[in-house]
Amino acid sequence: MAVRYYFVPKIGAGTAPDPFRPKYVDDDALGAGWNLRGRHFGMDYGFEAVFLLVADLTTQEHATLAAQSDVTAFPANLDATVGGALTTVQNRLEAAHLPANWVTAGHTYRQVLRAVRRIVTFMQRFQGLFPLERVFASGITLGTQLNQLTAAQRQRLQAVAASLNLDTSGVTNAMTLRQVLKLMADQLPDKTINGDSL
Amino acid sequence: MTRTDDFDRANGALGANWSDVFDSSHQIVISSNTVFGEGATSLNGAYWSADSWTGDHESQAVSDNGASFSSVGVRLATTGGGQGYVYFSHGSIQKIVGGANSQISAGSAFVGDDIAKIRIIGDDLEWFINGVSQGTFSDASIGSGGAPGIVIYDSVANLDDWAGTDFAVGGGSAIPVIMQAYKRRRGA
Repeated sequence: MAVRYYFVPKIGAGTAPDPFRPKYVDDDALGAGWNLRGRHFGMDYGFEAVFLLVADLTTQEHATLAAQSDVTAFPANLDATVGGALTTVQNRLEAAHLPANWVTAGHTYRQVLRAVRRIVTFMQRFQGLFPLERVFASGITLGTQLNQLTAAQRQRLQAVAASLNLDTSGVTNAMTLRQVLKLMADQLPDKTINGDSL
Repeated sequence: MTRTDDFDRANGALGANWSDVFDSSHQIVISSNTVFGEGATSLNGAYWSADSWTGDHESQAVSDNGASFSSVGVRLATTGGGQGYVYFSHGSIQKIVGGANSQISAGSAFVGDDIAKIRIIGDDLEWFINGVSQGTFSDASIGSGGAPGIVIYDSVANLDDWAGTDFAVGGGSAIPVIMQAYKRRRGA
């Protein structure tokens, strides 16, 4: 068994019996006997349609999950560099509204995952403070500049930063959401996730 | 600080020590000295509001009939139509934000006579059955505030002998307190 990290789609209706959750964590989701109870945790990305899934899987279970076309698996060795997978990594992250233009071939997957975990944390707090609002509302992308947002949308982002004790003095209205999210995430402390400092 | 409620009183509303998490149509109500959800196929919830709580606290209760979907909850508040972190009897650890449930993990279900507990300190959640940790994980959505309490999705599952403990106000685990009440009630 080994703890691995995955991006998987979000499923569910948001109710107690059918909560939003990572795809493939249900009993029998990938065949009879498939059971990840007590061995998985999910971090949602606010209202976005993905989960960061942390799961302690056997080699066979990992192979089965990673083979799904809508699953992105981080390698077992998080200290390996992104290398030739750079374009794939960037595209997968940005498709989920996760800033990735900062990633280079020389970054390790641990560095990528650490940034992702922090950005997810920022977005979770946004959802907690403003449960009826979306950062990426219609027409808003990672490339949207702060000065293209409404004052209320900017104030929400500022409130989230304040809630997490983040310094916003370096933020300018010409910055894109891509830049702002990364700038905020870089200030968050590491968190130990199943033994990994992320 | 630990607060307890054995619900041994007349059927109906919980009383002045409690407030609704959602709305007055989705209350936790007493029936035969245990508590049920008022509405079927909807979230019903109550938090202990007679005292002020810091964000670091735990909530636990005895599962009475063991049916799905009862839960103990922390950081419960009316914000956004009701929010908090809950440990449901079918083994699902969920957060409720904006009236929507998202699963953080899924593990062991708790059944009749089990004591279920969920604890949050900072961003770190931990959940227990009969004092044995079932898992830990972090979530940053609800960063502070709220209170411990109970959430039940339907009108079938029930809970009994609730206790909430605040760790920043003379805190300590409420397991001994609730076990005493439980044994007294069961004649053990």
